[in-house]
This record gives sequence, structure tokens and C-alpha cells, in this order.
Amino acid sequence: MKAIYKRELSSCFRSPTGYVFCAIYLFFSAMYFNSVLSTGQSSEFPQIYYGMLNIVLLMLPLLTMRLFSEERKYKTDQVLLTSPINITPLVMGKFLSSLTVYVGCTLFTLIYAVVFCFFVTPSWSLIAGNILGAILFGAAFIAVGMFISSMTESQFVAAMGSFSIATVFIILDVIPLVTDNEFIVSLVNSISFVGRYTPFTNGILDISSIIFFLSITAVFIFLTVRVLEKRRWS
Amino acid sequence: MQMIKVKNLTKKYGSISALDNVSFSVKKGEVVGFLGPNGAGKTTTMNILTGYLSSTSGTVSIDGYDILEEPTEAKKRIGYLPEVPPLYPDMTVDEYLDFLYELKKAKQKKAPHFNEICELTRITAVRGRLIKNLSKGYRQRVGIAQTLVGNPPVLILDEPTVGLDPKQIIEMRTLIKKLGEHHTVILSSHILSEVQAVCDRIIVLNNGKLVADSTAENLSDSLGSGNSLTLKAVGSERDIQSVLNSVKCVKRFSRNAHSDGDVQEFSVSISPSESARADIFFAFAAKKIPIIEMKTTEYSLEDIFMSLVDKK
Repeated sequence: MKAIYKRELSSCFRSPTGYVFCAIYLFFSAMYFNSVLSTGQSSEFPQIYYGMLNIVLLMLPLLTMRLFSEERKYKTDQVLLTSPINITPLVMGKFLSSLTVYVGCTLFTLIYAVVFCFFVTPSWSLIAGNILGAILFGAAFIAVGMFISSMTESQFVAAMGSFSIATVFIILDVIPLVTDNEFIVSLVNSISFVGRYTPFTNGILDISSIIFFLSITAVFIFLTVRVLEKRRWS
Repeated sequence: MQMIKVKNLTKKYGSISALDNVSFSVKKGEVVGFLGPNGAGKTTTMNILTGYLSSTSGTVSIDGYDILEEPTEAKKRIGYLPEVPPLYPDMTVDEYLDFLYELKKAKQKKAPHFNEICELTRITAVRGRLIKNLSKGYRQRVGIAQTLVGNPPVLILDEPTVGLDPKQIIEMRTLIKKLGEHHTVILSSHILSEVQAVCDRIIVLNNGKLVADSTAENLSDSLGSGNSLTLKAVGSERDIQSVLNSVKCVKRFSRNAHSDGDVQEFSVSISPSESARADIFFAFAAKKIPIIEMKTTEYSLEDIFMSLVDKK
């Protein structure tokens, strides 16, 4: 797992991908920080993370599209799958490498909090809760993107697949606004990534949301392992 | 000692069978060649041996470890070079070997181990270069170097010389021969002379079936090599035919198309007998027709191959 993790992480920064991802993340989070700063209210701080959600949804496919598609394109999956390691650590190594880049960017927002300290005393527990939420949210979507990448050898198709799912997640939250049907509203609220994330921005550590994101992550990691195993048997 | 044992291997894609009941075994230290036309099932067999694909039925064991039951132990003993070398273009050769060293959890001391591998495969000069900038020949050699990381006893090489220039092909053969001294090697090829030059034993596959498993000499013998002569003599066609007709052990003969002028070339098939060539010689000598060349026809692997493939 360590070997895969190291290779993925270094390969991410050998190509422009890693830098582009970080640059976009930092640019938009700085924009949100700027607008929060102009309100002058520390309670607005979670707006940075909330605002970043949609951007993160659209950006994460950049990180995840190459995870398995590239291996298949270069046929390097043959060396991975014929070496004496199991598939699960292989998948975990790749998952963790993408998560590391994302977590690195997210932790960078702590600098904004430090800047805040010059003016007001920020609520650190609120910020910690937000960062935890953002990480859980990202982990779940990275697992989804990785799963899609494992199904195709074209990075483009992998990216478009993840983009479509991201778009669905974003649009999903509009549905409760246009319908009164209670069943649909509760269904959408229970599967909406953004809806699940909202409690974190309000400073609530919602156990069900944490479990929701963790189980989505676990399910899609499991599915990725199955896809790779199934290919052997096809 | 059996290093690789394959029993009743069958692989089906839907209703198409890529491999049909293939069984063979490879002894420790043997160099075995897989021969067959494209689509014969060579790559499929190799992918199954290395655990990349599963078989529909049948078993594979490497050094006593079943590839399905104990995949980790079995895979530890195999170095695999697929048809397309599995290289990461964005890494340098050293970084790539390093990655494999960790991936395969190799136990050897790293620096001397890498030096040895790079010397053997002659890639020392390019160790610091990015793989995407290497030529095809070097990539292929890095591919071989990759199989040697961790020094596995079994090497499986899928068409190791494909796409190389003639000089590189010769170098690659020398390398494979050298590897054969310390490893059990299976290689596949459709270049027949290559298999002949490098391998102790040849396994011929066609349409997913094993059609022959033997040494090159035995395969040649089984075609009746030695019972056929090529004969060149100086004289008129009719004289030579009448002499040949008079020799008892001559069964059939035919004049070859590329006879020219006085020199006539004949293909002669004879009944197996010690004195056949001497009889022919004396018969020609008696008629004062000089034989300028007489040799037994050796079947090339191409002939063996075509006859095996056509027969089935």
C-alpha cells in the first residue's frame, strides 16, 4: 500500500494535475475568504467551506479520473495485479493519495483562520467541525470518482462520469425548492451530499452525517475492489 | 523438480474458448517457448499463469503454490513481462525499479541488487532518464529489468523481442539465454527461429489447443526429417531421372523449379536406410554424372509449425 501511495502522490505532482487542483482550490477559497472578511463577522467563516462544496465537487474528478484509467491505458495494471499484493491495499493506496492532496488543500484554509485571529477570536471548534465535514465530504466523492475511473480506460470518460454525478448532486438540492411532495423532499435530503454537509457549517457534529459520508466512502472503495476483481474473472 | 504445473486449463469468453484443456509442466531451470499464430492463446495462458486473469477451469501451480489458493506466494515467485511493458512514462528508470522493489517487498539489498539487474539488462546508462524518453529497445529492457526485481525463480516473457531491430533481437536472445541459467523461463514468440535459438523445449499452441510439446529436434524428426534429400547434379534432366529410377531406395523425386542450365536440382524422398546416400552416389558415379551437392533436407521450424497448424 505504501509503495502505491507514494507513487500516486508523486505522480500527481509530476504532471500539472496536482498543481492545477491546488491552484484552483486556493484561488476559490481565497475569494470566499475575501468576501467573508469583508462582512467582518467570524460567524460567517463556515461560508468558505460551504461555498467550496460545489467547486470541490467539480474539481475532484481532476484528481480521481487518472487513478485507474491511466493504469489501464498504459497497461501498468498488469504489473500491479500480478505483484504479490492484494487488491484492497492497492485501491486504498490510490484512494489515500488523492485524499492527501485534497486534505492538504483543505488544511491550507487554516491560514485564513489564523488571519482571522488578528481581528476577532474565531470559534476553533466550529472551524475544526467544518474542516472535518469538508474532509468527509471529499473522501466520499473521491471514492465515487475512483470507482468510475476503475470502470473505463479513458480518463476523459472517467472525468465526464464524475462530473455528471457531481452535477446531479448539485442539482439535487434544487428539487426540494420546487416540490411539496414530502416523500421526494425527505429522499433528496437523505442522499444529498450538500444537505448532509449543512449541519457541519452550522457547527453541529451530526453523527448520522458522519456515518453517511463514511459509509459512502466504504461502499465505493469496496465496489472499486470488486470491479478490479471482476475483470480478472471476465 | 516441477516449477510450473498446468492442468486442464480452459478459458472461455462467453461461448468462445480461448484455451481448451491445456496441460503442461515446466521443470526447474528449463527455458520453454510458446509458439503459435496470433490469437492462439499464448498471451491468455501467460496472463492466467501470472494470476492476471482467471481460468474458467483447470489449475495452475507455481513452485507448488496454487495461483488461486495462495496467490501471494505464487506471485512472489514470478516475474512477468507482458506484451506491452508495464512502464510508467512519468518515472525515471531508477524510480520505477524502486517502486517495484517496494511493491514486490523484495528482500535483497537494494543498491547491489539494482546494479546487478541494470548491468545484466544493460540499462545502467539510462537509469536517471524518464521512461517516456527511452527508445523502444531500452523500454523493453527496462521491462525485463522489472521482472528481475526481487529475483523471482520464474520469468514469464510475452514476446520479448517484438518491435526490436535485428541487433537488439540478438542482444535480447543472448540476455534470455543468460537468464535461463538461473531462472525457469517461459517466453512466447511467433518468430520461430528465435524459439529454436533460445528454448530447450517448445510448446505449440493453435486455436487454444496444445498441438505439440517437444524439443525442436524431436518435432523435426516427427515430420520425417532425414528421409528427404536435396540433390544437385550436372547432367541432362532425363539422364538424372533414369539414374534415380534405377536406385532401389528412392521412393519419389521431383525436379526443383530453380534448377538452371546444366545443374539440376532434385528433391528426393528415400526409404529410411543407412546406405541410401551411398547407393545414390554409386549409381550416379557409374553413369559418370557428377553430384555436386547432396544433403538431407532439414525442416525449419516454419515447416513444422505449418504442418502442425494445418493438420489440426
